Amino acid sequence: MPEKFKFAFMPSASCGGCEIAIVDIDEVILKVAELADIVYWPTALDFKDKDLEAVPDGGVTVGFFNGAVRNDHDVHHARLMRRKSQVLVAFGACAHMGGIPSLGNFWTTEEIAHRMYDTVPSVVNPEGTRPQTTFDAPEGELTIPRALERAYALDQVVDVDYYLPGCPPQPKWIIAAVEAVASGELPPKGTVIAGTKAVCDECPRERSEEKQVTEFKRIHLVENDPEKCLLEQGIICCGPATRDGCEAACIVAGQACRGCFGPTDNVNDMGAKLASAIASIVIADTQAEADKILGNLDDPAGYFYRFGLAKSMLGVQRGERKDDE
Amino acid sequence: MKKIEIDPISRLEGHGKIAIFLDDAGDVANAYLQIPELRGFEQFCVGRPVEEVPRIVPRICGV
Amino acid sequence: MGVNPERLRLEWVSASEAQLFAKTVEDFTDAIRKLGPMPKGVEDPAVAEEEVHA
Repeated sequence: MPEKFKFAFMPSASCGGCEIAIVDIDEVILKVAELADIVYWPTALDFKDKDLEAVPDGGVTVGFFNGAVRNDHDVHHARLMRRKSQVLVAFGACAHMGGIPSLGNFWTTEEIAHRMYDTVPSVVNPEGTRPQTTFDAPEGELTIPRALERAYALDQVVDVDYYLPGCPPQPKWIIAAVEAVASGELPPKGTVIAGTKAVCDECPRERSEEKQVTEFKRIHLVENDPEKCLLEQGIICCGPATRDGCEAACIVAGQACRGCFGPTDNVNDMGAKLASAIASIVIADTQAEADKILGNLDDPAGYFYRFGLAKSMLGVQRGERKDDE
Repeated sequence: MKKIEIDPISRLEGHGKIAIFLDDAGDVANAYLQIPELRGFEQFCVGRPVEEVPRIVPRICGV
Repeated sequence: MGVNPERLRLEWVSASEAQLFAKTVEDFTDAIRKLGPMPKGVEDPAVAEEEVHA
């Protein structure tokens, strides 16, 4: 009987959605159980770090790392998973490109902590108590990890073999990855296991050849035509620069794409690509008109970098910024 | 005092760590639940269009 | 995003306005050269500690 593979699942700064996506593969989970022993999956079973540390280096056939790298313990886990895994998969949008937690990169970690512990309306903290990385309790010392200065995607910390994009990843691509492992026919290293075109190709809405937007609108403030391309109606949709494979799930549900599958191949900075794509569909006769139309975009940074801010080529800048409040 | 650490707390979403201190008699002197993570939803939703927030905050917990 | 606004420029230039295009690009290139390279950006020492490739 062929030796079973070994799989490991490491959560990081995540929401658990990726791990639920694994369960969403329904009966295919039985095939996974046949194919592999799970040597580490603390979200599902009672594993501790020592269980993963006990596996010889390279002893994990495929390691799936989900979540962004947000504290120094996550960095340790990323390196541990890399050492123990023959193949390391960045699983889900957070590991792929920082995900939603990387929206925090618009602020410093101190600004975030100040909001969380001092100013958010739901907190009462007159003494300004903050978590400490070490604390002398009366009984002994307590320690917790240190939050990093910014959120990172997995491949900014360790070498990654494959990416399963999405927030959450879709069962059909998880199954495709499992089948590739089972058959031994793995795609080239660095492959993003999803479609190869843009979401527009899978989108059921009608698109005309020309997109000519004269005004950007917020989706809930307009009666939008359910058959027509959202962008043509002036509603920001990230479809043109987003990798497909999701069958345009959000558009089918009546919402615009927000780019959770990440960019298509050969795109170095998804936000820049989206900014360029959105700018190119504006129709204006004068600079002033163009400025007015684009000035109506209320949150370009948040639209264009919703899931992938950690991977922006601009890096995490600390220039001048107006307070939002 | 002897310290027992349960790290990570398993079978749930999110990260948690428990430190249990035992006195000389082996009884629990004190136990601490620690939350070793920070993501910052409270801050990064600030300034986002209101209709986008219901698309961001489900990522607090995907379960 | 904390990037100096002078590093971003949006201009509307028609395909038939070749001279305007060339000038816009030249002027912007000069402006960027004067500003110099963008600051490297925030990194955390914990990530820089070891090599990326394990």
